[in-house]
Amino acid sequence: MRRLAGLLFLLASAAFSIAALSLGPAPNSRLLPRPQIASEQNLAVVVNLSNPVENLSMPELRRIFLGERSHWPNGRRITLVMMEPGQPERAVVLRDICQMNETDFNNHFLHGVFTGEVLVSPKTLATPVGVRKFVFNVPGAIGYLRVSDLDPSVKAVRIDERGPEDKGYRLHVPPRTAK
Amino acid sequence: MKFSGPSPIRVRLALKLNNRIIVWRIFPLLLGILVNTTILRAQQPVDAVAIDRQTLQHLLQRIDQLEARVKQLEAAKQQAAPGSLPSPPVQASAPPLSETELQADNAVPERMDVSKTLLRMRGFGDITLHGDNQRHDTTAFSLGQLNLFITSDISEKFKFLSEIVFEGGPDNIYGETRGENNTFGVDVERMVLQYSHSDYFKFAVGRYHTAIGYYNTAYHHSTWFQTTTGRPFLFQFEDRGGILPIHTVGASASGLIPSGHLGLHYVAEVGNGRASRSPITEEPVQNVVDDQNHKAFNLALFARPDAVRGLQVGFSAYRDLLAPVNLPRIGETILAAHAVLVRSKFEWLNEALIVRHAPNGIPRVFNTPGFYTQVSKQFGSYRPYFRYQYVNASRTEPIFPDVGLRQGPSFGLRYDASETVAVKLQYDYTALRGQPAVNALALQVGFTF
Amino acid sequence: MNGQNKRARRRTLAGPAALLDRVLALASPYNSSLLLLSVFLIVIAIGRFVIRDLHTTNVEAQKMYAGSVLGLHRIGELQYQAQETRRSTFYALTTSDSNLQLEYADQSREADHRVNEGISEYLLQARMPNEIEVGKRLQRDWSEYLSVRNEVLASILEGITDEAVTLDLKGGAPAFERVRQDLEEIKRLYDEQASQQLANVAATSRRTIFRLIGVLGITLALASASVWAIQRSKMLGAIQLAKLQMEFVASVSHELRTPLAVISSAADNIADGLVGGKDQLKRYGSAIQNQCRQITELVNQILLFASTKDRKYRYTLRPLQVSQIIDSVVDNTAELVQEIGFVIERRIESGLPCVMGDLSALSQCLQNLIVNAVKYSGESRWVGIRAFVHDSEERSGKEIRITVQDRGMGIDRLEMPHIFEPFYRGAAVTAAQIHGTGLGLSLAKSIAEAMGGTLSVVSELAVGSIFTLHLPIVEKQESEMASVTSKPDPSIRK
Repeated sequence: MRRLAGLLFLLASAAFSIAALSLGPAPNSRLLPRPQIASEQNLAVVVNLSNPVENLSMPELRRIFLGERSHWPNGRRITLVMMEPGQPERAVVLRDICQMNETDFNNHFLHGVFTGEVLVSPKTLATPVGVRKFVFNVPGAIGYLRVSDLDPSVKAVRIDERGPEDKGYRLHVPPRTAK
Repeated sequence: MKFSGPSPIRVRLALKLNNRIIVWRIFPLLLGILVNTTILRAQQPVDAVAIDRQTLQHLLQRIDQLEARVKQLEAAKQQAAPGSLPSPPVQASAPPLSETELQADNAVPERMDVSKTLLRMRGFGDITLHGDNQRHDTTAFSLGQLNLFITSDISEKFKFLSEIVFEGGPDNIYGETRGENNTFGVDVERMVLQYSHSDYFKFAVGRYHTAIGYYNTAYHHSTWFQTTTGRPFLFQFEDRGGILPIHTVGASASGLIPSGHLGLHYVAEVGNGRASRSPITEEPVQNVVDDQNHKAFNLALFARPDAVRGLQVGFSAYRDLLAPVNLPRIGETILAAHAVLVRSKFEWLNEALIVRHAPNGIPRVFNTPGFYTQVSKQFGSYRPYFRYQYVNASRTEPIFPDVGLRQGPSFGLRYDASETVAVKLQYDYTALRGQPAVNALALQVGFTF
Repeated sequence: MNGQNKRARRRTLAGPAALLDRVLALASPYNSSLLLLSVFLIVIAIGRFVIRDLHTTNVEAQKMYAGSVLGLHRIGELQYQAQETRRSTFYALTTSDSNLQLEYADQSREADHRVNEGISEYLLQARMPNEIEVGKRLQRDWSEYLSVRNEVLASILEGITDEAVTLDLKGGAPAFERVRQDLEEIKRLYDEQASQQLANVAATSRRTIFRLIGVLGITLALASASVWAIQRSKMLGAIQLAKLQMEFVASVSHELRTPLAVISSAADNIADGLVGGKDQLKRYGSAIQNQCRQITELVNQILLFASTKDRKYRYTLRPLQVSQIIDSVVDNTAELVQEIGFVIERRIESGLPCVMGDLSALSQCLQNLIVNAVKYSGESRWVGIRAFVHDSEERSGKEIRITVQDRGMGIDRLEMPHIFEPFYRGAAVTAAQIHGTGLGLSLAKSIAEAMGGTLSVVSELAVGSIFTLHLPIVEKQESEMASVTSKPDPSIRK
């Protein structure tokens, strides 16, 4: 039993060390907002106009975007809208909100659906206009758009009490490259 | 897999590998891991980024191809769509319609096609090449479980989920082997109708995995999802010699508990519990008929605090009453605790539980403790892992006397050949009470489709 | 009896005919003007009716087109767009691609936006209470359908197809059925309105045609009557003129025959040697002289009348004393007056201003008046002549009035308008067998008007008559000779 305890202690130490090393700030995980580059735009998180939510914390946002939250406070089901892989907006969301890469994100949803925790997979749309129209049409939808793509048909929520126009806003997206 | 008695030579070999030697040989390995971690971590960003970029490019190309194909199919469907709607009258293809056509349209309101439902199916499977030093065991390729995972979004609130598993080989229920070696059988391992009222209340009925600990609800009948080639022994399936009621048929309620950043969740279940007749000649999971009126109850609480991303700590308590043949009724209590840290690149799973059997009228209580710890880290497409597991059942354990003491490490490496295919190489060392330790090596290909 | 009836009938018929002839005779001088005025008024009246009816028909036809035809087109468009709204929602079900579903959702929203616009347009132009009521009901039902459609679209986009189907079956289809019924009712209202307006247009057209026929018939009748009246008036005028001419010839013949008879008798006696002594011969010669003078005077009068009517007579105008004119007239008629025992009473105001005129013409004028006064005095043997200054009734200032009054038989007021017409002789005069040519007063009036004055008469049957010659006063003494041509006499019919 003592040997067992000692072995367990060693195992725990090793695992903890690995965890401590792994849990250090990884290049892709940010606890503090990184400074915005001049050419970057802010990325707004948008919901339907009928949605009563005005502000979300980053952890809440992360839970929503990972499918761990399935309903809004008004009981409407959350429908997550993502842009197609390769879009810079999607990359920002995966990096800054979900803190995952594309594969991990897909696997997470697959696993979540498999365990029954995640009720619905995110919708994938090709263009920002499509995201905006989807959010406009679906009362429980949540998506993201550049500030320049916003219009009055959707509502931008504040993140940690900061709106897309405020200083210190956490989500920034590089400018679009001309095709 | 059945554990039989080892040969004398192997016993001697096993005796040589005593705990002290094992410890001193494993320690350098662990040190090496610690040292390499720093080096590999420094390389990881570049390699990971390079690999991610390559993967990204590949993915983008693949997406372009798929999009082009989808557009072709949609265009073909769109041309046929106005005429293919079954609801009469179908005269909507040439606007503007003449008055008579409008009148004909207006005579009967158009109906939707009720036959369309949103049913998704996903498959999982694995093939393993395994061998060990147990007597009467051979090195063989084994077809693992072919898992058809089916979901259907019935409505905004209701969702259907099921796992239909085709598996081969004999069943092992509390040491009893049933069935032939190479035949396949079909099991409905999960069949759940979920009702989601809100994040605070979800209700499910059907056959599901009991919320004992963490592993049982995090991993189901797919080895592709799991880091290792198989489940920890503690959470082995009932028909594979497991000691826990992995499955139950009943009802389950779950949801959030308003607790701010603590992220408390609850699970409350009631079900048929496991079949308690022994010797078991029937299905251990009581899918249709409960052999007694008493129901099994399970209550679990776990927390996912915001402060530590990926951390989950929890506790569960399971209570059932078993009635084995020729034995007094046995009150079964299973207490489990877990603390896991799961992130995309790292996982550390720790679970401990105790199975307590208290036969009625007998003052003695049979406790079977068990635990496992598992750690793994992703390095690009490679994920090395380590697991140590322990279970100690008394020889006089009334329900599963064959389990005894089992403990040992497992080492492995998982390689993600693609997004959907994983190759694993695992070495298991299992020390048994009164038997020679077992060394096993397995090479598994797990996939999803 | 039959003869009496015929005579009675003839008398009856003659009654209205005589009245008509009288009317035509009164209106005869204004035939052309009357005809022109009548035609003008009739054309105006007809034209007004026709234009009004045509305008009404046109307006009703336009209203019918705008209200019904355009309305039916609008309803058809509404029905089509409503169906498009629903179809686009169904098309979204045929695909699981969210991008395509969004496109169909957009199409459905565009179509419902057009339906909303169409309903607003209909409500704006609705006037009747039932139209407004059905329009508001359609708006309400469409809003209800849209709320279900939005939920259906949301469910489709969320991927919950079964729920979308259930929602539509439970809520969408019944709501759309109500919308369809509302549109059908609006269509029926438009149909009814169109039918009613069509009936109105047809009725208006029929009314217009009937009016046109009636009015044209009346116009034709009036035109025929007018032509008949004009012809009859012309005929009557010609008859009257012929009659007057015959009377003039007869009168002139009689006037000539009497002195010629005397002359002839005297000549016969002289020729037969029946006249012995110088005194007897002087008596016969005097009688022949007088008769020749009468004949000469008659011929002179006729010739004077003819020359004035032909505008050939030239007057020599100079300032004249009134007393001078009256003295001349009295001298000329002294013998006649003495012979028949008349008394001419003269009352001339002193200090009368001069008048501009021709002495011989004015003498002739007054002479004619005095001769008439003598002829129509009856039992009375008195003629009064007055001259005085009076305010002019026709122009500002004063005038000289010379009146010739008799206490004879007077003139019937019915004949008053005709006594200045040439050849006119009243029925009483003819019945009294008083000789004359019928030219005296006409000549006198022409002379008076040529002098710049007028001739008026006041008469009462069995009391007498006063003829007044109105002459303008000469302000300045003018010594130059002025020649004035006589104006045509409007009473002479040609």
